[in-house]
Amino acid sequence: MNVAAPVGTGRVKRFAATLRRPSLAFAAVVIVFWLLVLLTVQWWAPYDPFEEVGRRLQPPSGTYWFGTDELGRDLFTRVMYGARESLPIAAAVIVVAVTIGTVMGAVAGYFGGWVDSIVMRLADVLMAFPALLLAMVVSVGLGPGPRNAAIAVVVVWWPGYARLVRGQVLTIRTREHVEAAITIGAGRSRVIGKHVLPMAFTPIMVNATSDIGQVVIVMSSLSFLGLGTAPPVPEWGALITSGSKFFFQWWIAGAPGLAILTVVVGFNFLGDGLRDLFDRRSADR
Amino acid sequence: MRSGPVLGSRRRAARAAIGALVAVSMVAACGGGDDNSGGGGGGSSREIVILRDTDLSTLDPHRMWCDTCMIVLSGVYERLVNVDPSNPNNLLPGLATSWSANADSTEFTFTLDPKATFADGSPVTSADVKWSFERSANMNAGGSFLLAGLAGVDTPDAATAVVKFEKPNSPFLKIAGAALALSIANSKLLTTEAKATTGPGADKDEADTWFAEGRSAGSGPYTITSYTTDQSIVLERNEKYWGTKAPFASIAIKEATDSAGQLLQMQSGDADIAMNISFDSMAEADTIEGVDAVALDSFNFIHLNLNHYAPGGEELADAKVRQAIRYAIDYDKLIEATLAGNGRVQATAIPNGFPGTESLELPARDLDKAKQLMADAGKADGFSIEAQYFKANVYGVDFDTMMQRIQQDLKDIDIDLQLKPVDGPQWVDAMSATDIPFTPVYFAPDYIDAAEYIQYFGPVSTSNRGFGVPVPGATYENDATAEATLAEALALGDAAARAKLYTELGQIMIDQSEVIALVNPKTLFVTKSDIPIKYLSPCCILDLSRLGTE
Amino acid sequence: MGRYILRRIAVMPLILLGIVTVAFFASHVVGDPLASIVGLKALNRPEVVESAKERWGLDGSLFEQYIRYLGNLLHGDFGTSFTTRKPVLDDVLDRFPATAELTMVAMFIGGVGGIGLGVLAAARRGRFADVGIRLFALVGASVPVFWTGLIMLSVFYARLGWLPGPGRLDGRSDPPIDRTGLYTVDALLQGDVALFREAFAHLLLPGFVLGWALIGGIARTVRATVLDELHADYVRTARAKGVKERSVFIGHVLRNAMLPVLTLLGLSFAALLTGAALIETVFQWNGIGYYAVAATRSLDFPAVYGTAILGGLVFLVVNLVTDILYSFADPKVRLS
Repeated sequence: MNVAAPVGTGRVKRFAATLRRPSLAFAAVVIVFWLLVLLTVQWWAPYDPFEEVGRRLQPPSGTYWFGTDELGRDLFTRVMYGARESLPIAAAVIVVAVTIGTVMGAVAGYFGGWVDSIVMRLADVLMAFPALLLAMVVSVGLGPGPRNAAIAVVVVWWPGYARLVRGQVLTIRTREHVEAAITIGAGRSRVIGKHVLPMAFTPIMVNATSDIGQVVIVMSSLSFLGLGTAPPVPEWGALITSGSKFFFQWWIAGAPGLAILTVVVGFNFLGDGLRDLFDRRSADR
Repeated sequence: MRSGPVLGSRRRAARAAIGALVAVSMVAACGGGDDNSGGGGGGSSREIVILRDTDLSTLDPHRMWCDTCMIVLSGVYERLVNVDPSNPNNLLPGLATSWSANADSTEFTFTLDPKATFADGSPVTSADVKWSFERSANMNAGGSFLLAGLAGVDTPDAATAVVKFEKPNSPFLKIAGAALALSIANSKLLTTEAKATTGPGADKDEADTWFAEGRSAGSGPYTITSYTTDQSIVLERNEKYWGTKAPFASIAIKEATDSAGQLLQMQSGDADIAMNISFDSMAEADTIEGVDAVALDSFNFIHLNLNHYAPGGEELADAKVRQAIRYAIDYDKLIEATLAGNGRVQATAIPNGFPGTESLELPARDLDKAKQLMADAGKADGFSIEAQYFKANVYGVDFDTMMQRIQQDLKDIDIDLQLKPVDGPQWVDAMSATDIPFTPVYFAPDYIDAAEYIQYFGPVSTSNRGFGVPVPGATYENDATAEATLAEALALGDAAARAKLYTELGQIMIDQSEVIALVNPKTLFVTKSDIPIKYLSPCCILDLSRLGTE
Repeated sequence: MGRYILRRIAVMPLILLGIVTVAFFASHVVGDPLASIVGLKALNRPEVVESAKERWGLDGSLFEQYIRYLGNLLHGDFGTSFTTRKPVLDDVLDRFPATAELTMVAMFIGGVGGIGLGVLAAARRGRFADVGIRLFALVGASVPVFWTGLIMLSVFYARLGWLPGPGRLDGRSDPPIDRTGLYTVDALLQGDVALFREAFAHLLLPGFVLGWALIGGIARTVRATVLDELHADYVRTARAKGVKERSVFIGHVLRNAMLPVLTLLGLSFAALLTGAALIETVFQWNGIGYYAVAATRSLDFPAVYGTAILGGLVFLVVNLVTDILYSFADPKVRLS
């Protein structure tokens, strides 16, 4: 719409405008909050997350803000500690999936031919495979546990990035400066690294940011199906699972679910904000 | 002894029973012939709905091996004798009207009731007894061991069966009251229709696919008319039953595991009996009008296996360490956390209430003693050990909760327990490779005599300590005294004298602490007030043939 | 276009083969289903184990088993489930209607709700309703469905008692005579209105939870496209020519906004067939997802492969169909 806006100042202005949006402010608050929690919780948590501190199955109160669980442990403490379990692993999954996806996609897009065929058919197979079933099969195959569940999610997740990157590479490859670089004899890896990937970086980052929240959900789903973290580790999905056994004590499952909600919404907003920042068309809406 | 794995698919989905029509017509066809055998009159048209975790994986009576199996068998099949629910040491007539044993407890003679008939009208004869026992023994199934050492069954006439064993087997009269493996099935029907076989190799017959359609071949007051894996099983009144007709037109057992759902169905009248309500909801259940919640004493127990023969179990090799673990566990807290207090501690792997257990000392937490034992064993600094376990809820005990409690308790003697919950098949797999040094297992009795427990858990040559398959090459250290005492007990006809020997054997098992009993949970029944349940049935948990008759 | 479709169809068996291969080798890494077939006590008897292996097709090397499985598959034999002891194809077909019924309700709620709310939000852009709708849509897509299911059950079933609980019917009800396998339809076919209402009531909670998760993506897309289209040149032209606002909206704006929604719905349908596993677990709903979860956990290999193949096939077919529909709806799109 604002075709007339000068190119140079447009981005700066947009950046300022984006920052003022309430959704991004919310995202910033939420993400900073959880980052602080996961870094500092051990210094201020009211109780030990593994110790029995009161009667079991007590509803939320002034003493136990989120109530107590089936073993009389403080749920507030456990949900806060849960950030240490749930968030780093989700971030790690995304980093690994992005790395694998980028390499595979770039190689496929750049070289084309049979390399492209093999990589992309593999991606097709993994994407046509029902996602949750694939994650379950892989993590059952490897044995339960958070590390194997994370590997399973990476297996499900990388093909999406591979496709994205391949598409970008195919477009970028035909641009003049890249073709010029190839013509003057720049090495393949140099062309990919110096010219192609930097341009593909933005969409990857935008997607990866929003995806962190989705990975938190999928990891918690695997925990719910008993394939993630083992007790007594207070991972959010595992907390919901133990809460699901206590139907009338809604607070046990409630609090960790809300924690997941804030994280997912936060990263969603952040992803949107990034998209708006880099994609002029969407920013105008 | 259903230790653990009756693992088919738990919680497996299945479309609700549409095979019913087919199955009904099948049974009708099997019934054939005249229908004037005096049926009709007995019983109401009431349809009973029972909610529980349906852990069935087959309906073949000689392959069955699970808790729901016992309940189903109690209504559909009959045994030679019945254990008196009000006094498990007393036997009542079943298909047999009288029985006797020879002097050295190797031969048992049963006289069958001449009136007894199967649901298709054919008489129950000694040939059916022979066929059923031999099939069970050759099935290599869960319950085959109950007939281990069977030398043969003689059938001098249609009404007399003589069951012979290679070695003295004094508990056999009680074993004969077990529902699993010892139910008598219609041999003619099964050989012709289901292509069932009885000799060696019976385990290769595919009769279970015939049963999978929702069929049965028993002589009990009900017949199976429909079955959907992990969803529901429906029994209907056997109108040709040879005894007193059943009081209910049908009994449906439906899959249900969450407490709230079962409570609400009891409240709305959608169900008559709920068996998987947690003790945490017991008070709520009792407030529903016309509904009673009763916690009955059971013979079930949950125990810890400390398999020091398994890789990784070296730290447990010293009996002192195992005893320290026994003293470190806070049983009261464990029973409070898992059963809201509805359970009892138990001395060792012989159920409370079994003859011989009365004078054994019950375990209790004694941290000083535990620490002292650890120090004596040279393990004052503790160690770390992995505990792989089946994440299940058994007898109302949630294993996740239980293991986290034990983990806390063992921290106090510096044992770092690393919990590794797994699904059933993985756990059984690990058990069978004997690579779990530390794991909880569950156990329900099949007959009321301590011999089974010593043979299975005790330091004797027949036992693998309940550890699963022995490690290849590993030889368990057996106890010569225990060995001799057990042999003596097995040949003794006198129950009181046997009990005394069982006490001695129990003490040896406590000293060894290879198996530590954790809790003997009560069983919670939530029922309509007009269908009272007074006893946990010794043969069958819930005896359907007695339901509504007391 | 015909050639394109044929080519897409020709690739399908290859992708399905890939799925089988991945499922086969991934699930065989560790774990031995024999334990659940013959039981613990029998595992130390070699003859029992051998006979069970033979009977359930677990003898020979992994590669031989793989080839044998593929051979059977070519003859339409999906194998027999270790746990239900019935042919996998029967098991899957038996459970398909339950999942299909739930999926259709979820798609309806997600589709109608998502489009309606998206349009409304666009119309009220920036105002309170817009913000409210966007938040509602966002929340539905930002929580694990099994959590929403648990909370909804605990509120509307356990606390308030407004809606029925888990399962497809009440405890004492018998399912209708099997014609389509869809309980609501079968109940109507046999003229049993009470049973229809019961089955329908049981669909509401799980259907809503799944539908709500869909609303997020759909409402967001619809809102964005509608806003985009409203400012497009052709809309201005149409307006300038005096075409009525309403017919501009319905004839052009909404029609174009439907295209991405179509893709989303198509993908959701495929995803729901097995993705409903979590909600089916919470609601004890005897569908494909529930079956798949149980099969994976009990190492019931034939059942796992069967559901994976079905899920993959539905995904591929739905994808193709949406692409074709897309090209009809928007002549600018050429399939190639």
